[in-house]
Amino acid sequence: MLLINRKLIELAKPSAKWIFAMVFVKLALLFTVMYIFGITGKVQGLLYTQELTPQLLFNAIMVMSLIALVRFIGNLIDGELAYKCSADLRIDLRHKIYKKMLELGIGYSERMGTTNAVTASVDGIEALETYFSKYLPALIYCFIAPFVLFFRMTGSAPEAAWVLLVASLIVLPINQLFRKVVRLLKGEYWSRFNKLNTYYYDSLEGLNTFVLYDSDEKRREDLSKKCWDFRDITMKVLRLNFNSVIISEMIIYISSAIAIVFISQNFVAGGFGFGRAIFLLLLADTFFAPVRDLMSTGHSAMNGVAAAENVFGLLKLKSDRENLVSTDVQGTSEKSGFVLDQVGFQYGQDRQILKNISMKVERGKVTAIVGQSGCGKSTIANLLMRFYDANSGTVYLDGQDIKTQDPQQIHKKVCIVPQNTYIFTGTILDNLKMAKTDATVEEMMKALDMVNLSSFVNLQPEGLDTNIGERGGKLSGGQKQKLGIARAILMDADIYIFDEATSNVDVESEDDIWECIGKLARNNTLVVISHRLSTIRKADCIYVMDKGEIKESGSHNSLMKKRGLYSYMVNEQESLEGLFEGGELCVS
Amino acid sequence: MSVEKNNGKMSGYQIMKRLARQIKPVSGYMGLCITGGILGQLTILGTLVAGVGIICSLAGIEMILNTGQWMIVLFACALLRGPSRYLEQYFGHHVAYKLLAIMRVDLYDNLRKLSPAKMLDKKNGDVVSTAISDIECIEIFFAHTVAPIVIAIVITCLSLILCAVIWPMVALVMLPFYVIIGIVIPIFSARSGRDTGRAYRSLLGDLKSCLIDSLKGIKEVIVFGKGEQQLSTIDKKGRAINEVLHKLIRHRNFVMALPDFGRTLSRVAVMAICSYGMMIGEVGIGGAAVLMVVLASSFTPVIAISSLSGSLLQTFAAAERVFALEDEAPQVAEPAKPRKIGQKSGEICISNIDFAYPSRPNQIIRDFTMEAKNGEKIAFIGESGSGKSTALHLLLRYWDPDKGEIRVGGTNIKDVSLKDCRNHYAMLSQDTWLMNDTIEENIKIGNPDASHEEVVEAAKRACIHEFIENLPDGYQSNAGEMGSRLSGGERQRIGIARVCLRDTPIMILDEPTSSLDTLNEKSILKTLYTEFKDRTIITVSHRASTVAGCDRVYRLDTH
Ligand SMILES: Nc1ncnc2c1ncn2[C@@H]1O[C@H](COP(=O)(O)OP(=O)(O)O)[C@@H](O)[C@H]1O
Ligand SMILES: Nc1ncnc2c1ncn2[C@@H]1O[C@H](COP(=O)(O)OP(=O)(O)O)[C@@H](O)[C@H]1O
Ligand SMILES: [Mg+2]
Ligand SMILES: [Mg+2]
Repeated sequence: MLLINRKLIELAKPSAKWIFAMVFVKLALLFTVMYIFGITGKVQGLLYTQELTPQLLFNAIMVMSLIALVRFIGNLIDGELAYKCSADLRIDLRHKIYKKMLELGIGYSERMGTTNAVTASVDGIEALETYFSKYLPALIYCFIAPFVLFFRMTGSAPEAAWVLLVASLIVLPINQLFRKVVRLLKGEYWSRFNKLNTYYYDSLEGLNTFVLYDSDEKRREDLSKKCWDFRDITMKVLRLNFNSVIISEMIIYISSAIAIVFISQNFVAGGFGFGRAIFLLLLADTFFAPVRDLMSTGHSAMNGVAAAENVFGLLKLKSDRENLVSTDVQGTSEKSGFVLDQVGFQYGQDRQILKNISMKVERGKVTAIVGQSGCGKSTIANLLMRFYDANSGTVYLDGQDIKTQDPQQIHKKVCIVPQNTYIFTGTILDNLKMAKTDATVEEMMKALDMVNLSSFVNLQPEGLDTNIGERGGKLSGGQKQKLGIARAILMDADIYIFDEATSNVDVESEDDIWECIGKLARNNTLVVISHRLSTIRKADCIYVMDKGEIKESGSHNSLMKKRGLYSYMVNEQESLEGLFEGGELCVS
Repeated sequence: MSVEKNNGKMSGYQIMKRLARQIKPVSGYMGLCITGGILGQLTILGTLVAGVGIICSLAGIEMILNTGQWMIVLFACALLRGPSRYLEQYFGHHVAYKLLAIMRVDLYDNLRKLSPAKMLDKKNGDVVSTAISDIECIEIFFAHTVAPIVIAIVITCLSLILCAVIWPMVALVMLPFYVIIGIVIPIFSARSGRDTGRAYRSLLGDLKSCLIDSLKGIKEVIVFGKGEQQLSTIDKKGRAINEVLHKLIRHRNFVMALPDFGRTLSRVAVMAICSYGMMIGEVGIGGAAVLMVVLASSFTPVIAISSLSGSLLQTFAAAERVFALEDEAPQVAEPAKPRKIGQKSGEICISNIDFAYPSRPNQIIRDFTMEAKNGEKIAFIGESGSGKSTALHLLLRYWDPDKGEIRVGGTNIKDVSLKDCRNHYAMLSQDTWLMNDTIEENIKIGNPDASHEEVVEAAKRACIHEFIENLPDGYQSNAGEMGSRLSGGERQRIGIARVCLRDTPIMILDEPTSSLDTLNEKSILKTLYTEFKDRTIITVSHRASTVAGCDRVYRLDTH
């Protein structure tokens, strides 16, 4: 099969000089080979006619040793060039992929799975190395070398030269009969490779869960199936590849045999001497070395070609949040917080999540959103951050349609502590620096102190440099949330959104944290989403949601007077907590 | 196994030996591959010998066969070449990919035993890189190393015999070339770049986990405006990889250039010795012609080994990474003679346990004692980080306590097989992990054999049935990557539904209601406490409302 991909070749343009330099080195090496064969043939001829003198032999030996050295150096140069072919290119591609993901935003995983993107940018892109530094030069060389050899042979053995030339020109196109391989590679092969990666990754991620529920055996079986599926498709691709190899080898060796017959005929006819015959024989044998070279690098270049399509597809994805041009010029300096005007939203096509939401988040005040699980509280937060754009209605930030503002600009002003805040792999310090790269130790300790985490950090021998495992796996649930809040505090934004930010934190710490945040609130604006209704009692305005709609709003007192959904929830919570006298308290 | 280990670093020989052991069950196919390979090499040499034969016999030199017979040999070789090569390639890869699939599954089996304690020290991205990409590298060994070694040995012997037949001196002169190109250079090259190979494989794994981290945490990256910074980290890692790759490519080309150099010198040597042989009358012109043309080609398999040794650097490093994971011992040991859990299986008795995490200095749990009778409802409360989840994990034997013992149903859990021990509980962990599959499949993790009706029943108990029914695809709706299409409370309730699917004497709930509103909390608690009246339930919670209905509350303190 020939692995030709127009887009990849396009991509190779900046490296064209290196690739052609490699071809040039290969050609130079070809000339050395011909020279060696020439000497071997001459010596043979002299031996045949018994004219070889020790002096001539010595000269031949010296020249050939010198050529050996030249070849050695040529091979080393080849390696340097090979590196150059793809070095910058791979870094650049990877950069572009992550950049694209940033552009797609938090919904990227709906468009392209995480492991999918990672496999493409690591395995796929690394495999391009072979494609650019081995396969492409070998391919170009394949089109030139036969002509060089042809002109070397055609003088003495024209028939043989023609047979070999025609055969080597046929071999490549015939390989194109197996184009299907490339299609298979880009399609099924890569998709199964991807599936295997994703499935394996998920099986690791959920390993604890599977083991806990004793369903790891079943998972293993499914995983095993994916492993074998991948093996099957690999073998299918390789089988096709071997078919193409077998046909090529047939053509190569039979035409070589025919060429040898022609050479021997020319020899009998007295066209040249014994030495020349041996020389031609050697040339005929080496005629197809370039093609064989190409075929042997095919297997290792496969992954790159398979991934390429995927990478290009990924780079073509478009974000569905388009920036509108700002129309409202005068309202820019206004600091009025968020205003939602009859906002409707849905994630997919099918289910309306938010209906007709109108609300205000005023600067310098605390706004709370409460409601049953799944009613759309986090979704509102997502709209405020412009992670998504509303389908209908408008969200205004400081008097301007949020769609006219660049998300990066919004995030300078607004910071969120999301539900399931993500803790990065590494140390506590790494995580804090994520929010503020140049934060000083004092600043960090102060932020940690605000969330009641400083005593824990001080207890650790490595302090801020304590490793907290992958995704904070070595912290308790509450500690993770505290770290997430501390990080946000460091960020120093104007508006903070806390989305169930303290759900795993103990009550005492929670009260402390809210007190600190309350102090913060004096100069900042807060949006608080919480199920513990006592924490939001003091909010300036509480919005009560149900099934994607706002049912009521107002301060705690006014809502309690209304005897609506809010007062029902408050009473329920209090009566549940009131049951508390039941148990006996044992202190450990 | 541990005898072979040396800080995880193994010699190339040890690695090859261990990998070769895997081949045993498929040695038949390997035999076919080797046969094809030897045949293939013989046809190459045969073509050349026949070519020389034809020319020599035409030139009137005595060559054993006549011109016509040499022609037959020539075409027979040409025709055989394709099929024999197919045989070699096909069966070589057949074996290789079979073994790779087996290795991947075997690796997972060991990871299962390491979970969860030992897995906490690893990065999943790195592990998956080992399981898929590193194991893929081992293909080089199975498909391109084993057979070529045998082929090279056979072809070398045959070539030396050919030399010896013509003039033993030639064999003597050639032997060092075979030894140097086939043995010395490969060993040298496989040794010299081991660390480069290791660095490359581990940098790739590292890049993978870095990318995964940057993608899964993309929300935080965006919120904190650290996109550019993350990009430059990725670029930096890319450059580090390139640096190592540069060394690898240099090494690769050096070890390909060396044998090529050797081969060219061998041509010189053959030429010299043959000419000398002819001058003193030991060698005939026919023999000299055959040797000078053919011998250089007989180096092909030997050179294949030499030039492979460059790729083998990666293969060895990859194999080392796989073996390191395969050899790692689990945190807790299976008992030699497992016992069954006793009669009153809902009974838990924790007496005076101490525990500290191996990696942390402070004791998390000190002298903790607790008791629960069949059907009792117990609650653990305490500050975040006081060790509530840790205590539960000790019950599940993620770790063993440093002091004291835990009995369940009267049996020390150290005497129970891990599987029995964990099957004794229905555990809801603090974060519910969801897979990118349908909601039904996600609930069924709790019990893979459950019927649809049972799943629905469990969902009803967890107050999530109504929500699922309202989704366009109902139970067949996809939960998204990491459950991204569900709200926090919905994820948690799916976790509760899983637990409800399990029929075990003890239920352990780690902050089961943290993301739930009061109304859902109330109805779920009511269901749990009434429908699972006869089960022992241990709950961890910060909410007064959740611990309210319990028989006893234990407070854990931070030490
Ligand atoms: N990415 C998503 N794709 C599709 N549906 C979603 C997505 N995120 C949330 N939903 C759905 O939207 C509804 C509201 O979710 P959310 O705003 O997170 O609820 P909550 O009020 O608990 O924060 C839920 O029913 C949830 O299933
Ligand atoms: N795998 C681990 N390795 C080291 N320390 C851990 C690990 N898991 C938890 N810890 C630490 O142990 C303490 C108790 O954690 P945990 O039991 O999860 O607390 P909680 O009571 O909030 O559930 C915390 O300080 C936490 O940082
Ligand atoms: Mg939410
Ligand atoms: Mg906990």
